[in-house]
Amino acid sequence: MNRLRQFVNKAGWPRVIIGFFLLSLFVAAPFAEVSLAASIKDTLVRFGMNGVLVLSMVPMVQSGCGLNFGLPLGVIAGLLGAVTTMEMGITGIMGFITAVILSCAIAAVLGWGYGKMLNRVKGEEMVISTYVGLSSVMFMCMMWLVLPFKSPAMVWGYGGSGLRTTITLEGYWFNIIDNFLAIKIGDFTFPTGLFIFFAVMAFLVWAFFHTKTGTAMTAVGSNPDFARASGIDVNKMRTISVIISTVFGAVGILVYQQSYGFIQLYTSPLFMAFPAVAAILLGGASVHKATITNVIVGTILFQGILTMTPSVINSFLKTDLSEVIRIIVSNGMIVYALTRKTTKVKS
Amino acid sequence: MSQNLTFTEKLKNFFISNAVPILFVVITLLAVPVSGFSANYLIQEMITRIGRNSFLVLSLLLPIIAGMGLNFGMVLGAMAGQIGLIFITDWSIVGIPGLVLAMLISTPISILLGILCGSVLNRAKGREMATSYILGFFINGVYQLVVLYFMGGIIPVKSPSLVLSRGYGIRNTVALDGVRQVFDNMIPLKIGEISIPLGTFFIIALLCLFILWFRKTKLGQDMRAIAQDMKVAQSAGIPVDRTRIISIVISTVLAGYGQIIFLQNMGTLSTYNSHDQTGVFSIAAILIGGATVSRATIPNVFIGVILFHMMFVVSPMAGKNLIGQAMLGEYFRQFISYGIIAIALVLHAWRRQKDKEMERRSLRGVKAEKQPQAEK
Amino acid sequence: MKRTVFILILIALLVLLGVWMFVLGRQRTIVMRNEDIDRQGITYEAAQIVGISFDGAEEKEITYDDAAIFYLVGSSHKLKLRVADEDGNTLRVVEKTIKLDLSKNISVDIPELLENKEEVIKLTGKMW
Repeated sequence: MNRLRQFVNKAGWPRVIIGFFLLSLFVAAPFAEVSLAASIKDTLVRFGMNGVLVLSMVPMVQSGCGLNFGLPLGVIAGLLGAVTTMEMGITGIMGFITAVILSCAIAAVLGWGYGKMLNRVKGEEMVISTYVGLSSVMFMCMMWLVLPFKSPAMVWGYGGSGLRTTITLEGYWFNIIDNFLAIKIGDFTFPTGLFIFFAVMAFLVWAFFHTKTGTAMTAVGSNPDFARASGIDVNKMRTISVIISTVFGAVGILVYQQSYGFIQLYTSPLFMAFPAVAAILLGGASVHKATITNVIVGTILFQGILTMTPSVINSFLKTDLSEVIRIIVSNGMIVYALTRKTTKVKS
Repeated sequence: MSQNLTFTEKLKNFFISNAVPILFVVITLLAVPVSGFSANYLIQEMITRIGRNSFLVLSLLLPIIAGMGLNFGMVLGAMAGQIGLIFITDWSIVGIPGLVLAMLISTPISILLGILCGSVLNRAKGREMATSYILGFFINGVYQLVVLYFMGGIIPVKSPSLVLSRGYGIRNTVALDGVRQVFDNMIPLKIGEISIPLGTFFIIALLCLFILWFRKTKLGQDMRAIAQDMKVAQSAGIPVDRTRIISIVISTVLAGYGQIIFLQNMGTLSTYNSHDQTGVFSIAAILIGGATVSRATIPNVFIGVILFHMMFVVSPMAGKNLIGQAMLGEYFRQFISYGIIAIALVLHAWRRQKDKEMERRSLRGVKAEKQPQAEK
Repeated sequence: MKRTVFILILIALLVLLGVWMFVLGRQRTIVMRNEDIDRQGITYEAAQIVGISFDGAEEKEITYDDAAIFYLVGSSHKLKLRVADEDGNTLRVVEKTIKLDLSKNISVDIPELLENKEEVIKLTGKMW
């Protein structure tokens, strides 16, 4: 009993409740005539799709910049890289690699500026990053209409100018990572490549935080005054963390798209930040501390609920509650994380 | 400290503190001729929009006075207001009694949501804005659950024109025929071609008087003391947490009334979207009017509503005339509303950081000048 | 204690205000039907043309077997019925005061109303 309480205290109530909720959904799945194998497969694929995006939260949280609601900025860099590569007509794995390289370059520049700005607004990063994200998405909405892209695969058929809202990746790099070393068991395809990719990215983050820069960054996040006293350039560390987060956001959206099959432009980046933030919090991260384990646990829990509620709950209640549950769970989780008393008092 | 500032520094400070309204006056001056609208049309639009939006924007004042920043949680009140409107439409209560009843129904809901919001924000001191912003989304989920699944089922709503054909849930749009513009036309007035919603203006004036009076009350003074320094206020015996909750409750209730006034002017309620942009647009308006996260006055509200909505009206046409795409203007105005909030927040946080540094520098006094600056 | 009582009184007053607003603002949907009806074996025949006007508003004319919808706010209303033949010649004009309860939907059969000799007629219908 005591150990149970300890576990609950450590994991936090919302996580336990949601964990049990998800577990009961899986248990109930067969009764709702929902295929368990298909559900697990869906959850895994969604995990792979979203994993890198959630991972992109870690550096900024660790350096004390808070939850990266400015993720759309990274997403925009990814989209720019992708459409530019398509415009150049590079397909297949080379196309994907080009897109990654281009996106990373754009993301690094954007992240640098974004980081410089966040250094000036310490303590208000979260609400500011939200609005920076929103306004940059709106700015890009105008750009998608105006930028001189020509490729007929991407431009509206009529008029001949302005990019489409969704661009198919079929014939470019659709599922290029999913299908890498994919294992087929019956009609169940395990997207090995997706997981290898995520593992590599996670390893990179893990390794980074064990370098000198990485540990310095953690020090900045946990106690900026102490870090400053020991000679660490606080602002530089924060800028680096923002650049890394933005670059990971860009790579994350590319992985997401190649699995999903479409590039979604215009307002769609708006809907990327909240699920990623909710996922990492669900995994046990706080506003000041996040680990790779948080990312993995959180993404599985969050994506699991997204996969399972429409199929299971809906077949019981005969209505589509999934959207409402998604809103309540993800935002409830963020509110909970923001209200948790933290030991460190921010000035 | 201020005597030590040079002229350029003073000038810089003036521009930093008034950057937003100045920027907007410039944008508006550029965009109005391009849009090609007639003066009459624009004046009518502005008068309508002042009536429609001022009450909502005014509801933001109290939390700013109490030092809680921009109350993104005002959408909670907006949702409560909409629930009131759904009920009076179902009961077919029309005219001014209908709107008064809608306000009465929204009040307890707003109070409950306000208490919830206030308590949550007390647990998230220092990041009220981010928290209230997300809380708005969270309550939006609950609102959808209630309106889309409970109403017509657990909560009795009977009118076939309101309930979806499946038997429960409210339709996407609710026509507010019975209460359409009844406040606006309460006291009819027309000057030339321009009709003036005198009734609504009267209500807005009442609210302004209330706010002016409230600032002078004990509670209002307490709020200002809390905004100055929470710890000092606490030690002076002011119940900080309770006062903060009260400021949010009042703001939420007012936002509910504001939404009702907004929707009686619009004449249709879009059940699941009407409240979406309420917070963003109201906050953008007050910021454009020159308010900051920590200081806002009644003139800020009206200047802001006029400037923001002027941009709002002219930008689609200006976009169309300039580049040939109306969609561009559509994105542009959203870009502006989000961007202006971002800029205002950045300027505020930046200035606060600078003030802190200046304070630090002045504390160190003469000694500091000899030392090389360690940071920055 | 004093505070609690004050709040309770305030709440009671607000509820009363709410009830008052409900009564004051309630809009009744009235369907006036001009059809032949059977009441205990007696058939009341509908007129060829009936002009209906509430509270001196503009008259609405309906023909045999037709119906018209009116929206009325408040309880007491002056109703003017003008009965005419198919050529439009007015046969008689009946004026009545009608009292509505709080029902939302009220359905009225005009032939029955015309037979009713009382000056003040109370009408009721479905609450929802």
